[in-house]
This record gives sequence, structure tokens and C-alpha cells, in this order.
Amino acid sequence: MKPVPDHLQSDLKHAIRLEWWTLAWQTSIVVVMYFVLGSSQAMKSAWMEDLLGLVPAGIFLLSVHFERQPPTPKFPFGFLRVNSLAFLASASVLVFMGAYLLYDSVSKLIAMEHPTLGPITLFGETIWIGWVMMAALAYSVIPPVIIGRLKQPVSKRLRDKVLHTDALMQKADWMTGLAGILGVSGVGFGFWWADSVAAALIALDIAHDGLRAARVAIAELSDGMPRELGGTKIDKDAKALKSVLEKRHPGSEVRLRETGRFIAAQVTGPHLPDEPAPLEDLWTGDPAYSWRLANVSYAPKRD
Amino acid sequence: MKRLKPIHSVLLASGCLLLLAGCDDFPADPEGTMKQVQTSGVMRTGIVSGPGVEAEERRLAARAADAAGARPQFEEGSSEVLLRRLEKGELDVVFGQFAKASPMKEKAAFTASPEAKSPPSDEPVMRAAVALGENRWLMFLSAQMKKERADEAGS
Repeated sequence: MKPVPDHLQSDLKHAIRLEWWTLAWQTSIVVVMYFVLGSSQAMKSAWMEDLLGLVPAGIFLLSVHFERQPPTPKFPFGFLRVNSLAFLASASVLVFMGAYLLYDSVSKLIAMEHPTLGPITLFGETIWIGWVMMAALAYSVIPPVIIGRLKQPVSKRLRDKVLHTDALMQKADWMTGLAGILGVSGVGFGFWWADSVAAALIALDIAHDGLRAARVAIAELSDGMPRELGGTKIDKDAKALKSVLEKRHPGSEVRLRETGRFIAAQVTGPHLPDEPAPLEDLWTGDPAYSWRLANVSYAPKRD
Repeated sequence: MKRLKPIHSVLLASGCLLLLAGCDDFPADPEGTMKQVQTSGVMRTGIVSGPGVEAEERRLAARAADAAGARPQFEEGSSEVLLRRLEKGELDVVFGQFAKASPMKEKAAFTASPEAKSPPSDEPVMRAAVALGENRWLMFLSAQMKKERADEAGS
């Protein structure tokens, strides 16, 4: 099976390009932030979030590569679920890293550690490092917010969960930048706790991203009903497909599951059709997504 | 709550920054060391005792105090004792020989050295130490040290 139908090939190419851009910009952000981390906890959290922002883009590119691999005798269904598998792994990293940073920030808050932000000399001029940090944080927001917005429509057309979650995370990245800037400027005003509080908020956001990614991956890996993109509710088109199949095969059990972007249906019942219906007749949902129905299998019911 | 659009927050943030840039007490000291030195007119100064280096440290301290409109009140002792008193807020500044990668880094913040060439990070050179987080005070003393360095290079 092709990773995407022909008419979506250009979208897929576009998505791949966007993810390479993400890797490039995000790397530049990680480098810039690294040099001005100082002893600010908020900067540390924001930097870690920027670093982890590389992960979904990498997973998308890897899974596109795997999707194209033909099935093998050992993996007869191909590698369409590699994305969810990798996504689950990275989600757990996000959750643990968020939890660790939260612990780190809160313990600094409890210890009442006063962050020291002193002078830095750039091009012979000595200025407060806080200004440089805020500039770096402002820079760190711009590329992800723009790229995230560009990714979102493509991810919807491709029905790509990793790409979509990545886009949502990036679109929300400005909040991290703002929290960091408020933390650093708070220290500038003499509120030592502002830094750790901002760091804790960013840590929560990282953990939240992780949980969101885990939810998306787990639904697919445990053969759940196809979900709405970026949500926990059951997909409307999948519901429609299920009721069509149930009408055609009364007394049978209809189960759907998701494999990558595709939906597979299984009808289990006593009266199986001699001549299965063509797939196009079964899809009553949004015609733009009719390509998602990959197959319907009919299985006799054991008494 | 209505969600803030990214563009609005960027505008908001840059507006705040412009406001701050016009502000003199930025960054501020959480414990107000700088203000306290200026208003009390006394800079409680620790000098780390050691062979033959104290004269230079006293001279530097006197010039820094002068720039802050205060006079130094000296106290000699070991770095261990002085830095602890600094941390408790019983001293405003400690002058002594500290390396850039000093093991005391967790206890105090250090200025750069007033000496012209930059030493290896593990070599102790003369620096001023202030309590962690007293950023305005640290900025002020760092500027003093830079001035010393410029004077030294000029002479």
C-alpha cells in the first residue's frame, strides 16, 4: 500500500519539506538558547522544550520513510504503525522530562534560590544578560509559530497524527516564549521567584504535550476506533462507516481500527455476503477522506 | 477567558520591554543591596585574608564604595566565613581571590577580574563576590571592575 493516495503526494512532499525546515530552524534556536542559558531556570526549561521540539519532526520523517517500505514476511501488514510506536516512545520522554523539570523548578522555589543574572559582554558592550535571554526567547517563538501554522492544513489533508500534534505543539510555542520572557523580566524587577514559576509552567506544558501525544498514539496502538484528528472523540466519518456496515449486515459485529492514516473494518457475523460491496459505496462521510478506507474484511462468526 | 493571539502577546511583550528600557533600576536586587549601600553610606566589605594581596583589594573596594557614594567598612576573614556572612546578608561584598570555576559558585556570584588578561577558569584571581541574585549590585560592581581594567590598560 502506498503511504498516501496519488492526489496527496504533493501534500506529503510539502509536509516533508516543512519538517526539514522545522529541524533546521529548531536547531538554530537550540544553539542560540544554549549560549544564553545562564543560571535561569526558565531558560533551562524553555531550552529543553525547544530541544524536544525536534523529536516530532524527526519521527514524522522517519515514519514516512518506514511507511514506504513494502511488507516483509516478518511484517506482513507493512510498517504503517511505526509512527504511533515512535510517537508513544517520544511521548513518554516528554512526560518524564516535564515531570523532572517541574520537580527541579519547584525545589528551587522551595529552596528560595535567587537566580543570578549578571552582565554579559557582546561585541565589546556590557549589558544585562536578561536582555539577551529575552531576545533569544522572542526569536525562539517566531519560527515554530509560523511553521506550525503552515503544517496544520497539510496535516489535516494527510490525516497525519504526528504532523498534526507537532503543529499544535508548535502553534502553542509562543506561550513558552512569553512565560520565559515574563520569568526573566520578573527577575529584572527583583522578583526572584518569577524565574522558577515560569520554569514550572513551561515544564507543565512539556508534560502536557507528552500526554497529548501519548493519547493519540495509544488509541491507534490498542486498535481503538479511529479518533478525530487531534482529539479523543470518535471520528465522524468512522461512525458513519460503521453504521453503513451495520445496516448492510444486520446481526453482525462491525469493528473499525486505524492503521496509520487508514481505516480497516472487520465484519464478523453469521451471514456473510457472497459478493462484498465496493468500498466506495460504504463511505458516506466526507468524500475528501474516502481514500482512508483501506479494506473491509468479513469473518465468519464462531458459535 | 479570551485567548491572546500570538501577535498581540508579541506586541505586549515588546511594549513592556520598551517601558523597562527606560527604567534605571533594572535589573533590581531582590534583597535591595545596592539601595542599602547607597542609603546607609556604608559598604560592608569582607576582605579574604591572605599573604600580600589585601592592599590591592582594599584599594579596589574603596574605589567601588566611592562610586556608590559610600565608604567601606572592612572585615577580614577566611573566604568560608565571609561568603557565609555574605549569603546571610551581613556583608554587602567580599573581595578575594576566586577562580571563574570556583567551588563557591553555588554560594555567591562573582564579578570578572579587574586584571586585563583573562585567566584560565580554574586559576584564582581577584574578584568581588556578591550574594546570589543581587543582580543590580552585581552589574554595578562588574562595571567598576571593567573600569579598573580600562584604567589599568590605559596607564
